Amino acid sequence: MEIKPVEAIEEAMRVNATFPYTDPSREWKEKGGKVVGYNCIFIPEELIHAAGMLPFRITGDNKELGLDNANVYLYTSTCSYIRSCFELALGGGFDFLDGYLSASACEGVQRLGEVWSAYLKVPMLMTLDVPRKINQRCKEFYRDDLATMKTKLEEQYGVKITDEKLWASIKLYDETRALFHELYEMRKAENPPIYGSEVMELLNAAVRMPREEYNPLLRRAIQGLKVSGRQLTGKTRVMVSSSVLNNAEFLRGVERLGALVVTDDVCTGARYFWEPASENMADDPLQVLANRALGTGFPCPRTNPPVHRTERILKMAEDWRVNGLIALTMRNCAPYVLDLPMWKSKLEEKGISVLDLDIEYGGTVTGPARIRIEAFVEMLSMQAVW
Amino acid sequence: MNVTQIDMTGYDKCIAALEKIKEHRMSTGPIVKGEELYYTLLIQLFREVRQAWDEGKPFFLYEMSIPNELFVGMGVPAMEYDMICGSMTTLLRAHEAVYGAALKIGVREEICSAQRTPIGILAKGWFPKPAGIVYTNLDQCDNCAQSANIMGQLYDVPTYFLNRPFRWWSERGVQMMVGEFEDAVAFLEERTGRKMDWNKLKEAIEISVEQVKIIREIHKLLMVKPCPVRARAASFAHWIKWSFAGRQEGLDYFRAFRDEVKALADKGLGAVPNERFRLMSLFTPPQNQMKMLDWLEHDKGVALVSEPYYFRVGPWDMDPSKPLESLSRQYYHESYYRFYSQMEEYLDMIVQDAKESGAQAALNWFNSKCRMGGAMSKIVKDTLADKVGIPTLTVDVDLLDPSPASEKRTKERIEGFLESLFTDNVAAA
Repeated sequence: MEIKPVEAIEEAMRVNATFPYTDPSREWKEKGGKVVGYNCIFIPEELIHAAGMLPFRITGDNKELGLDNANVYLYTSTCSYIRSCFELALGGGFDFLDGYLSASACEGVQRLGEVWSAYLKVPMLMTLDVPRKINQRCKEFYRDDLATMKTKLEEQYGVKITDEKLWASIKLYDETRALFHELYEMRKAENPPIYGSEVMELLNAAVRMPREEYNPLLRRAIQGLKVSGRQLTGKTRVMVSSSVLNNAEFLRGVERLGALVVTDDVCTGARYFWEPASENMADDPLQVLANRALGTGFPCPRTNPPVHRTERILKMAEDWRVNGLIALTMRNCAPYVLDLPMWKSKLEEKGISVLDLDIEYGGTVTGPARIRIEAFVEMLSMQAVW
Repeated sequence: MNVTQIDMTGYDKCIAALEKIKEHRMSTGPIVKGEELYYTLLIQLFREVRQAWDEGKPFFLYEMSIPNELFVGMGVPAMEYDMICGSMTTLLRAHEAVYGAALKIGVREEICSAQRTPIGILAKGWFPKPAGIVYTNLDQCDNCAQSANIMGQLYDVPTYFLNRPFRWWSERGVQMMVGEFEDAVAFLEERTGRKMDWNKLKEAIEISVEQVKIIREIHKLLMVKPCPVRARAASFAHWIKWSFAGRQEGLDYFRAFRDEVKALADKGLGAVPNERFRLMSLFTPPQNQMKMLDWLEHDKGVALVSEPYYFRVGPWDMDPSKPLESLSRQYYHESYYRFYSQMEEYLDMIVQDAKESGAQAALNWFNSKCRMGGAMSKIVKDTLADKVGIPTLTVDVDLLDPSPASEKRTKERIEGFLESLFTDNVAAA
């Protein structure tokens, strides 16, 4: 059966094709707007947005890059995601940014900010202090650091971030989250209407263009899928897990091997939108943002205790009826490598196989990775037959 | 992945091996008091935990930077697990078995050996079962922050994670850590069924205050010409500082260490027979290749005159009347932990130490599995060159696992560096 293209998804792909200086960012700048980069979801985009600026998520490219230049500064013990970001930055890829915000989220993110500050032109504004522990004390501490970040943005750019503006931004970003939940719900179907690789394109575009333009695009994508009559088939249903993944091409490769990628545990995927802010209502919008980021909905592998994350992965695998999970273990991503043993065996006890696949950021389904994924997909499809 | 059987054979072998090493060191030549005490205390700690295990009494495992004073106050034995498991692995020559066990449960070789080792030791069931494990993110070490999750699951024991803020020196940071320590005390009380003895904790902090004062003295003595401190001594002192903080035995060790170093300095004698190079040592030399430090001293005439990680403690003193606040603030003044925090603070620290010591060059013992250190190796080199005018050799090593860097190769690199220093000195003369 022919799979019809959906116009809004193709539009998202066109945005991503112009990364890093995407067309919408260029247009934004040409209108006199400012763009502030960040590379971790613990930095609330809402705060940058409420300052009247475009939040832009720094990532590596949609392909595996040569990292010779970044290696000089960050050494090979830094994960390839962080080095890819810095490689692009060194080449001037992010020179269009007006500032950069870092966070103490993990070793890589923190050090990237510091090395950035020492060697690059784009100003590094501050490192947000992000606790690892999910408790009230840490949420309040985090909230206070968000207040510092707010002041920093106001002073740096001569703007005022009012509560009113912040609430409006929270509402706008919550709308995106709700739309993504709607999209992911559609993927629960026996024959979902969208490929995992297409979802990745939509997710990537979300953080590379103005949100006011993006939400209508995502809505059109969902609507387009609904009326498209698309019914995808595959040999097996797969969940993809990783610390960070932007490479839609990788998912395309997995899907070409016959798997249906129906959901994910990725910080550029479900973890990005899972927890709505509106469920964390408080009088103080900064506290709302802190509560959301340190929520128990779908935590990052770095957070403590690990139980919330384990429960979410198990539940997600069950709800999306996956047969197997591909864990993309990017070398030197310690938070993920040390988290995987916490839930891998639990998933396997439920009869869901896990493929622990070594792959670098931006890697594609070629060579040994292809052989292993192909064998995994075949094994899962045989299990389904049994 | 629960471990069902504890096997104490290896643990007991470690005690026996340490006793033999001590005996050997004492029988083959004059051993300084500090070194003797080091072995004595190491054996004592192994025995304390063994005894608690035998008697069914609670004891704890804790990670580097969790203050030992807490356990002294609680009156329970406790062991810092990163280094102790490293020692066990070396004493048992069990690197392959230990790292193999860690790998089997998914903890791969790119994870720092200081955390892979305890995971491997526990996966083998070679450590007695503690009442709990207390750990922390050490500000910003991903491995430290998560390794005990796996350890707790392996032994099915409760864990307590102490969240350290990135900017802990701010008042907010201190207050947060005080709260975290309060919860840690509650955890220890719950696990032991006894209450914190706050007077005992206060006494422990008083001892630590004295200990820190002596460490500051040693820091100054290190810079005397010729240098009276042996390179090995820094690692020993570092370990005692962690494991015996707040204990009289720890203070006795540091007094003995200081006295023998001062005696040498007063006589104008150096610890290195023929001091030719005065170098700065950054981070931790490979703990499984300590003989390399002997080689540096005896064969190459290298004195390590600047060891900011081990001895450059800040000027502030703890206040025993505010025990938890003191422990929170003390963390900031501990130079070792700056490495894991804001880069700028760390760079300032090493620049100051390099200037004060007059070191001719720096050896950066770069733990090649460390992301915090990896991302800093270039900027350390650039900063020392720009602000102090000295070169740095970045030596790729591993803290505990001997497999990634051969001693031969490391020595060759250091030799080449020393030759270039010598040539530069001659040219300058």
